[in-house]
Amino acid sequence: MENNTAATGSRSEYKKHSLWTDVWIRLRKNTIAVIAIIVFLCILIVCLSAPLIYDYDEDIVQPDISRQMQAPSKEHILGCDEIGRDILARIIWGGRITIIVSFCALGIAFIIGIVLGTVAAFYGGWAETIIMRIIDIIMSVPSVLLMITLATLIKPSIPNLTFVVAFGLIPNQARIIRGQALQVIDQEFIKAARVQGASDFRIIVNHILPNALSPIITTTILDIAYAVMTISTLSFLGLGVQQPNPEWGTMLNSGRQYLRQAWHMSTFPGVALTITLMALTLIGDGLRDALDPRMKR
Amino acid sequence: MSEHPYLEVRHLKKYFMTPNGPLHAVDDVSFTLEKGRTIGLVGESGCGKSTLGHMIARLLDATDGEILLEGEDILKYNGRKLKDLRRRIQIIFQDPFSSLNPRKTVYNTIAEPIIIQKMCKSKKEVEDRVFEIMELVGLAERYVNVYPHELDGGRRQRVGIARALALDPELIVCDEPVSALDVSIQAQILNLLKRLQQQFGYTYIFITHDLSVVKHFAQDVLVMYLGQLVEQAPVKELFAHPRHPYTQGLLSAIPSTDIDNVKDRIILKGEITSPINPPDECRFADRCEYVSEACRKKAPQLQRLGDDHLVSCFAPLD
Amino acid sequence: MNDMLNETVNAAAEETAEVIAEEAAGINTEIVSDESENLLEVKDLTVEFHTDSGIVQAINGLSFSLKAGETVGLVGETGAGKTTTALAIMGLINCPPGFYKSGEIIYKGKDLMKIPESEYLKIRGREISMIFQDPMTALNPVMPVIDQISEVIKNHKHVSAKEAREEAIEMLKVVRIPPERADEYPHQFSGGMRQRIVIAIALACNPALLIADEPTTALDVTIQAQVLEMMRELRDNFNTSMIMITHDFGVVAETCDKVAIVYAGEVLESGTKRDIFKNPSHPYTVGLFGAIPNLNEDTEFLYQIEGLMPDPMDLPKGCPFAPRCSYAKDICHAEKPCVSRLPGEEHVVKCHKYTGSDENQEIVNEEWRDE
Repeated sequence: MENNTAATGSRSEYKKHSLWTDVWIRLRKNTIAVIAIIVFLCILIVCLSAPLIYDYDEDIVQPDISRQMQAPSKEHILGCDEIGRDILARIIWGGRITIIVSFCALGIAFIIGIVLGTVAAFYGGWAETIIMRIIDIIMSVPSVLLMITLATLIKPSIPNLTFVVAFGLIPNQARIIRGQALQVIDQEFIKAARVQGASDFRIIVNHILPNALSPIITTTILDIAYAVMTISTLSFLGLGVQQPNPEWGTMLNSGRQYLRQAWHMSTFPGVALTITLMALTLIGDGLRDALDPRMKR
Repeated sequence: MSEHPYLEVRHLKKYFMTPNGPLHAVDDVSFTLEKGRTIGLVGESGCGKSTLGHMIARLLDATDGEILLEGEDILKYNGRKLKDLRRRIQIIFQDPFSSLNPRKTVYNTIAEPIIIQKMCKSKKEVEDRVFEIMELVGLAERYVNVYPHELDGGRRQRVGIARALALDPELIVCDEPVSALDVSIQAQILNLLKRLQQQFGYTYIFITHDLSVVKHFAQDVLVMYLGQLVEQAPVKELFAHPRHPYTQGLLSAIPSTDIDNVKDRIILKGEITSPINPPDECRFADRCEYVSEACRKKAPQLQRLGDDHLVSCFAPLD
Repeated sequence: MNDMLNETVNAAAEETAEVIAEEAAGINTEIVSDESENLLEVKDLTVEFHTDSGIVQAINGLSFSLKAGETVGLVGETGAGKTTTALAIMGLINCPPGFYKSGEIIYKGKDLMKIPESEYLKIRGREISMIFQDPMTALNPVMPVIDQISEVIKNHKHVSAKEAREEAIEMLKVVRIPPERADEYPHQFSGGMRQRIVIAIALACNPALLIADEPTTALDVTIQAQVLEMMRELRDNFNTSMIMITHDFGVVAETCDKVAIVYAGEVLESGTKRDIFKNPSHPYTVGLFGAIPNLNEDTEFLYQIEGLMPDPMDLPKGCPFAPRCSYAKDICHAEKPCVSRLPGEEHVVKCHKYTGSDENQEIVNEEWRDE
């Protein structure tokens, strides 16, 4: 039947990979994405190990007027801020908070968004109407306004901040996932799975999600940027991370006032933010390509 | 067992609700099918042939009617029973592109039904079964870890067939399995399906718009028009003596490759009318050249002319 | 089935031998008929597409010709290069990635490949027009159909808007669309009607040549019959020449005078409809006929051409069909066959089976017969 010339080797040659192994194999070939991943991992490791490097009370909170707005020097590589705290220490500690909060928020939003989006797309009818109307209502309110309202209603704390940021991300996530899922649902391979007796859960997890997820990877990564900005905005308004806790957005803002006297105060947190966001975007791009076998070659 | 036909469809109806009224996709269709045979379901787009096939494969619920498989109404099945039924009835789809999950390799696509239905005890068994089926449908082993987009249309269709065969079904609904393929690939797939039938005794419901394929492939033919059965007969009988004016027009419309005997063709006028809220008259009346008063008054019923020949027409042709 | 094919091919080979013998005996047959008669002549057309992953050899030395009033059918499977040929004649291949490597497209004595774009604009739509497969995407969804027809007329004739509209309404009547529906939008028409509107647009300026790219593939069989009948009628009334691109031999039988079998960007066999249908000679042509379920015959299994069309990025060195051909010899894999003439008015075939000088022709045939 087949007139193929290639040798047909033994069966063991055909290792069966999971989707994610294949994704990783393809991702590995993308040098830029690999560099981005390494950069991001470094940031992640450094920020998460902040407590091992700097003591919170001593290095982060304790002011030292003698070092006020000191320029970068040997002892303080990135200089000091307006009350003499080491900027490098604060960036590392601040990154820890920013990263943890934005990732947790995104994770929550992502999971809730997937559930709401796929349920709406898969079951349609009443479920869809209710979910989508609520989402429309939330989206019709300007998101900053919504989050400020929410943040004022509850006590400013880090878990609450996470929840507020997540809440702002859910509608967008759910809508995008629903849109992607709807495109997949009408395809014949979904019908084929049904005819095989696959359960709804299996169809959603095995067939709809893998096909719906890759297009939203990039938007999700952009959502991290959005989350980071939201955290900074809320912190700036005094509704997010509270002083003396460090946070990149607050550092950026407080440094802005002294831009003429001490450029390093806002520049370095800004650089940290830019590198992180750029690495995330490049990882997102790489993942999107790797997730889509059609983009291979 | 023997008192029941293998598959019996009784007064099956499927209406879709539209803003303009109910769309009669399948309207009171009845037929029987014996085990191991192939029945061809022919008609033009929108005649309801795919809807009918999908109802038999339990992809769509019926509005009314019964589908009896060895005497049991499968439309009433759900839960465990429905899942078991899935093993017995499978479907092959038309579009070799959208019928395969682009994120699953050939192996995973074929293994999935086996895993869902827990047909094999060990991973090794699943693997053996997948390779066995791939060989059956003529897919070289080296395609096992390949994604659908790396395959051509013919091989994709083979994967689709393999997936349907994985559960060792009895009845296979073939929903235009070759319409999207080139002539030479179409021949390969048709031969494959026929060979498999001879080997395993599958019963086929073969849905197509291509009459020459039906002539080649099926033993009995059902001709559908706007959701209704207009004629049913064994293939030879139908092609030799079409009794319904629509069948006659349909057969006459096939472009013939016989350049010496240029046939006088009957070109049906007009186009298929809307299946939304059809009036109670013969649905073919507007396009029929033999139309009479009677056709406008009520819809004709399927009547028996000869042993296996059924026609739904007030004045069947000779 | 295989035996039958074998016989057909062998019989054809024998006949060739006779013809060649006759020619050798001094009966001079002019292979190329008077060129000036041809409305269109495509000679040795070679088109490549340069992509990131390599060079796609879409058309490889494709030749055919067409006299005024004739219809030629280009028959082949997906990827054979039929549509690319049509686009090349229309001058619609984007360069890059497209690249005309060699060949000529001579239309009314002019080589279309050498004329400037400004001149091409006058030819396209007016002299040569084209019908596409999908009538829905060929029409602009937000423009009333009448405007789409009159636009073509306005583009090519110096007439007022009113006159153009009147002409357009005439065209609608010709394709039997009620003029009162003129101001409706494409989605309000059925598939068959849309294709008739596309035909009306294509014929609006009374072109000398109409290229129809699978015009009925998307239509139901009864609608296809209506459209084909109308196309035949219009072609005869307007005396238009036509290139019918299709994969369906039935459509060819009903509409064409001449047939060219296209495979991997070249014509493997061409001739009059009778030549091809009654005496198919190339193993591919024979295989294609065997692969179609026949309405008048019963066969248990269809003839199967094994394998697939070659990858246009990696074409075989010899005959493009050799890897799938059950008669292939060493020479088929090594060398490209030349064109050989067969009995019949214009019957030519590109196959090693039919080539060779007078002396070794017999030997070659002997060899084939042993198979």
